Amino acid sequence: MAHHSARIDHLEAEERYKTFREIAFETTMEEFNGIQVSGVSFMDALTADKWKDQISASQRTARSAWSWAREYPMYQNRPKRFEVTVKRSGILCGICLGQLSKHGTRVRMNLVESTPVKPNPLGIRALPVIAFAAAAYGKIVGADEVWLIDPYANLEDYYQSSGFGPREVYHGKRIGQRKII
Amino acid sequence: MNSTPDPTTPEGRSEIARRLESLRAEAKEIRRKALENLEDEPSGALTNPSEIDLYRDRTNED
Repeated sequence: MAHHSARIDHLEAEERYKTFREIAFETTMEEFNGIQVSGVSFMDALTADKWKDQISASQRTARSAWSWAREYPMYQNRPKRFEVTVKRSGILCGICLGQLSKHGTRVRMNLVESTPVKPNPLGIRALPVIAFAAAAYGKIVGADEVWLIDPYANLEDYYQSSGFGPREVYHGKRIGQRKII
Repeated sequence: MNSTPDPTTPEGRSEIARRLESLRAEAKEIRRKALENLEDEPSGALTNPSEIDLYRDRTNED
């Protein structure tokens, strides 16, 4: 009986937070014309994994050390996850998986990658759009911070130009950069 | 922790719209900055978790 009740709670939370994410996506699309903002599908994860094969001298060579396809199902089981893809004309240009903190006060952007194609077909920088969607989700659920977790030290200024603060310790054990929302 | 609004009710939807007001007010400036020096945008991975961090994120909800 308790198991059944927990299952119902999980399904209700999944539906509720899915609606919150969809409102955040709609809000982001209203503010960034021409950009498609939605959740992450398994096909998106596979597409992002193919970016690892696109290396050229003219591009930054850093690619995700993780497999998007492997991480995807871990996040899909969490009702309060933050997930987003940003596309233009159906072309995947940026992707993020994260989660709402236990107490609901912080949106964590754990895994973030943008297309290696330059210039970005999005026609606008990807990270600010992803961060806007994260902030919208955070605002809706009552969080007051968005955190980019495990940022690259050499990109600190870039993150700051996208609205995040300087590098600092997150939760006593990780490094992050924080945006107050 | 703040309570979450009920998106299925008019009151909840009004509360959501109210919560988003301040972010919408910042959108114009965010768009402007996001269009600057597009060619200089760092592409590829933008976070750099270790294997241990990935494991923590799969198993913890902190």
